[in-house]
Amino acid sequence: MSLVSIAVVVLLVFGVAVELACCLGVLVMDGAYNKLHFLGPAAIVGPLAIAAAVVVQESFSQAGIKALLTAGLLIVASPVLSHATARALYIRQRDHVEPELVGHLRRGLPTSGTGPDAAPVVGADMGGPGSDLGLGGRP
Amino acid sequence: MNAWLIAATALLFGLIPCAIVMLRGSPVEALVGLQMAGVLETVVLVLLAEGFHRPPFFDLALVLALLTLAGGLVFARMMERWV
Amino acid sequence: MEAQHRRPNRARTAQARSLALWLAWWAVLFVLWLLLVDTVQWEELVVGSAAAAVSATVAVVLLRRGYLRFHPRAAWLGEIPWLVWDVIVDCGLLAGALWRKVVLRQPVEGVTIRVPFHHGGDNGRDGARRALVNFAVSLTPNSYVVDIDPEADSLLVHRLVPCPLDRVLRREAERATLSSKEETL
Repeated sequence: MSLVSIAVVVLLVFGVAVELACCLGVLVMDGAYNKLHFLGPAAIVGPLAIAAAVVVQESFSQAGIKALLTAGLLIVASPVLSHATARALYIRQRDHVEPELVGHLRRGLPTSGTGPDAAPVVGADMGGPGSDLGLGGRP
Repeated sequence: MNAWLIAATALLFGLIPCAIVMLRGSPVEALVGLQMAGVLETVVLVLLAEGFHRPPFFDLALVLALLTLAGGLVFARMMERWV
Repeated sequence: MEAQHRRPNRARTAQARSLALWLAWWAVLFVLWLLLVDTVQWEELVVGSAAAAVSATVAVVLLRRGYLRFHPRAAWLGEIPWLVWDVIVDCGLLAGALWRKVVLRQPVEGVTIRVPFHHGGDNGRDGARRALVNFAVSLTPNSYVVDIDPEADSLLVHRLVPCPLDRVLRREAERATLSSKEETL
């Protein structure tokens, strides 16, 4: 087995593992807000690894360039889709179209502080008890 | 059968969790499942193009990536108020 | 008399800028065409040239008429290496969250935070900053922007794993705090 073949197999295994792990993440995480995070690695890391495998195999031929273009397109699309979907969910919750809080009651999870309207404010000069998640960046 | 086709077959199993989410989740959760399936299928098409040694098949993956973006945006916009 | 001389000069500068923009768009689109067709036969070059010319014209017309207000700074490209690093780190965080959920069977619940963000005006520079901050925050897997609130001058950001603010959010929060202090003074 040549070095190129080994590199291709390693990249393929890595790419496929990332994609399947992200599918598992979308399945097991509760709520659309939590599921959405797993679109990121699925659209960035997986396709990049697969495109790298194609480039290793084919060099910068038509196949390699198109694989890279496809990966680039997915990388650009991922944050756009994440934001658009999250915003759609936020508007549905704000306008009472999506009963996400009702769903939380059914699953027995606490309702306070879980929706975006109960969001703590985090600022550059805020510290102390309001930022107990360690999110306040002190200047 | 080569490594590319094996990888494509393995990735097809990833559609099962996506389908479960689409069938059992709320409308927005289903949209997340659909977007994940779109990304997955784009990668599968790249693998099949390389596995079958057909460079023109890469164009299918490119078009699907574009359509996943456009379709996801349309669904998200519709779901704000109309679904 | 001087004002009359200044007006033709401004018009010529605007035309020169539009031409430079058109040429830049044409070059980028033509290169993209060549990458996609992977051949230098003269028929493909002619068709690609024409297609790139049409698209470049549309782009310049949209920009001149103000439908697209997107004027980023070249210096912002310097953020790319930090973004790449943040993506790698966030993938690790998500892997940890998935491990905790699936193997350790611990609950994993994301959190939504409101980060001060100076919305700015309706110009190309501020529009580009809003779009690129949104892109950069949503690109990193551990966080994405849910909403931009112009009235509250803040970003609503959802994060799966709590951790300190990343570079982009920290900088924007500091900028927003500074600009609100300037306004009160």
